[in-house]
Amino acid sequence: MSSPVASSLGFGLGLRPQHYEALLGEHRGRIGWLEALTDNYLVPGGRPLHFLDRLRAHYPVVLHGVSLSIGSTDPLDLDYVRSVKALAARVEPAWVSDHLCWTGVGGVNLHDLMPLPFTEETVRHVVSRVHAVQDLLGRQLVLENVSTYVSFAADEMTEWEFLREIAERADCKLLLDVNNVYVSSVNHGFDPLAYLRGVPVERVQQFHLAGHSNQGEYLIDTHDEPVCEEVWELYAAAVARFGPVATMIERDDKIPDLPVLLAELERARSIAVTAKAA
Amino acid sequence: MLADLQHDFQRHVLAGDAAIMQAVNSTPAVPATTRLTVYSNAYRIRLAEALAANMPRLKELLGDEQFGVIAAAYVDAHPSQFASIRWFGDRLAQSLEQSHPSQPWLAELAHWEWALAASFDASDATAVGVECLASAAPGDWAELQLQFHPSVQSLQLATNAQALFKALAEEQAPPRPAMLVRPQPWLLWRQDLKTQYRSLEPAEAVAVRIMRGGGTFGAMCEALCDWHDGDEVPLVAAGMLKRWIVEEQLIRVSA
Repeated sequence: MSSPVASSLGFGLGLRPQHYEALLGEHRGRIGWLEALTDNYLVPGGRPLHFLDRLRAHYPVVLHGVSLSIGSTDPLDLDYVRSVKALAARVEPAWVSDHLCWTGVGGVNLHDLMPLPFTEETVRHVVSRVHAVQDLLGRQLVLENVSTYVSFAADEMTEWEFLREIAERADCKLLLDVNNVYVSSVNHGFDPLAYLRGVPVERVQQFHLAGHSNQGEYLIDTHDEPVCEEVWELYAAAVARFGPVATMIERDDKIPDLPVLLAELERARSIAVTAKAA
Repeated sequence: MLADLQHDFQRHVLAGDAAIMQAVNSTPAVPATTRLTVYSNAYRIRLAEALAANMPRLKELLGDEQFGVIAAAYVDAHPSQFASIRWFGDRLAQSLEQSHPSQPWLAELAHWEWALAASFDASDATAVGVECLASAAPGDWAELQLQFHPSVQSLQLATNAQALFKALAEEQAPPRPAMLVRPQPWLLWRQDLKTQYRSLEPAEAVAVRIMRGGGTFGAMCEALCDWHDGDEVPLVAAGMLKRWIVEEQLIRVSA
């Protein structure tokens, strides 16, 4: 199932309902692509799917989910995977992503991106499930590194080694969230540049940029602030290593008007151009 | 091992169980307890926000503090088993019936907002136009059956929960919560992607119940005789049928 990284989609935004009209109206064509939150469109019908269809007619779309729970020790939720597949058949996304985490066990969904221990046992478990999901979806999966606030005594490798093992053994792609790398580097005291150097270049399909909140001794990935200077710097380093990978900004709370996000995206574009030239 | 760790972690998030502590690293600046609290706090905040997203007017009526108490109790009592957080809160109305029996408008407002959300993203289907009636031969009318749009719901409120909802949605001061003299039936549906609702007179409420239950137009006319003279009934019934069509509530009319 291995394929070279699809040609980059350029610069995009996370699709939020507040911006539906502006994206179809005065700002149509100002951005290269949209990332739709899979789970928000796994509804029977109505306004969300209506707008997703209309936007899809004008923009490339990728689907980004939060409930695959690829690392959970519960059985895979095959109904969920099938519903994602059905949505993908409707939307024809450039790719389908979710998070390298677990979201619950014992039939409970915590609706949060829970951290995995970086062990060979976890790698084997996740790899077997990624194979199953990719077989069911009939496409490669793209997995995102999450922000974490704990590390485990059982860890046997670094996070970047964990990411590499899974991507290579499962033959999947990676969504490198630059903000999450930064947040976790502060929370666990590792070098974010070492992280970037440890991630295999050919596996990275997409970048996320986002803001976080500073709690003093640690950071929380809140997606409610502009991208900070440290993350912009790390983004430049990421572009230098991984090339012109499809980049987008995520904002999930305190969502500003579209022009504010477009200006932020312009900054990403100019950083990427400079970093590429360097 | 992995399964044990996940169950221990989840028990900590849900109930503060301490078993996970030994598996988590502390650093001098941030101890394991603080690190774990990020997850248990985020869990409660996220699920309370999901309830508020589906029931914004209930939250406004109660105020942040009282809503927070109710949401926290609900989150603890009903851990989500849904793939999508969209469906979290399905039992809040029932839960309020039990916990706040002396304020029945709270449960009814929760029920009302949950129903509006269900109409909002119910399945799509193409509504029929009035021309579909032209093909019905006069002899077929008594046997006509209707299929309503998936977004159509009817519900009956014994309190002024709808008036509370409307005032809060329009940023007006809500009326005093109260029981109604008699229960009021309502019809909810979606038209042009927007949720709609209107109150029903008792006769139309019965007509809707019969037709949504698969009854025939003849049976509906018979029931309407309890409210109208026999010779008025065909006109009244045809008026209801036409209105449902104009409001895009019907997706099939068949003899």
